[in-house]
Amino acid sequence: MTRLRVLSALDGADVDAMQSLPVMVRHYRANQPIVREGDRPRECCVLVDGFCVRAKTTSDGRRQILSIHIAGDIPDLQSLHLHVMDHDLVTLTECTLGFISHVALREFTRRRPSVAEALWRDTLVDAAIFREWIVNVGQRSGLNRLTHLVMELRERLRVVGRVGGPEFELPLTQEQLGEAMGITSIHVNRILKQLYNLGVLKFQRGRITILDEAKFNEVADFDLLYLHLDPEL
Amino acid sequence: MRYHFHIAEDGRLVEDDEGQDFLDQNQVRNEAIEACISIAKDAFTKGSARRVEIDVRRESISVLKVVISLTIEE
Repeated sequence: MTRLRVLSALDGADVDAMQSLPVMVRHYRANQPIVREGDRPRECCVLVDGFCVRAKTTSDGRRQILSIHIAGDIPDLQSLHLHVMDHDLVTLTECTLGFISHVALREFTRRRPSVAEALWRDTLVDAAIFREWIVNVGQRSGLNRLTHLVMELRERLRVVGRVGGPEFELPLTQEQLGEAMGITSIHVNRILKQLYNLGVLKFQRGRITILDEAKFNEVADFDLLYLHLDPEL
Repeated sequence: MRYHFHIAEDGRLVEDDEGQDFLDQNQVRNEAIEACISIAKDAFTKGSARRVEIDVRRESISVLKVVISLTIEE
């Protein structure tokens, strides 16, 4: 809710009304599918706590992570209008998810156009992030790719109050980081060592520590705009 | 089986202390080739090295080596 409120300027009445929606809370273990390619979900989920990813796997078994989701995200909002899943949604860590039925959500958005607009805006921001990921995977060097990804996650985690000081959680393995960037975990390992040796950042047991903010900014080649964090702009 | 992928870029070594598990050597080979290609791409385009080598070891014994080098003829 904090995220939708910050990112789309919903008013108090909308927020109160949204909080009255019937939500079914479920807990998932790490590395479990929530919905799979080909499924026909009848509900959308809000990630309350934990990390999950959207991913697609090629016919020869190679997985591409398409996006990383954090608390406050609604990672399968598209199933409300696109009925058959064209990718998987999988947990990375233990997750708490709130499920809202499509029927309830559809009825709700018809009654409250400002909520429908907020959700529309949310899917547009989603698309903006995908565009940035295409640039990342297609055009940036491994070093810039990884720092860009780390910067994105930090800025998104900051919105939901999960960043305090130079450290924050990024619970991906080197293999999963590789899947998000289209490189092998061997290459990820090499980049992480280089970033540590350059005094930029440290990655250990799913946590990032920024060692030098100025160097980090320089390597990340990051422009905050595509996250569209301020609806007033 | 646990394999370690040690990287050398123009002789600068990056050791792999953690290693990874693989079921068969074919997968190891593919992984090493792919890693070598993407590391070489970054190193060659940046100009930081002209030779990238991945030495794959199992229990400290070298089982495979992938080498990519850059030659430019002008």
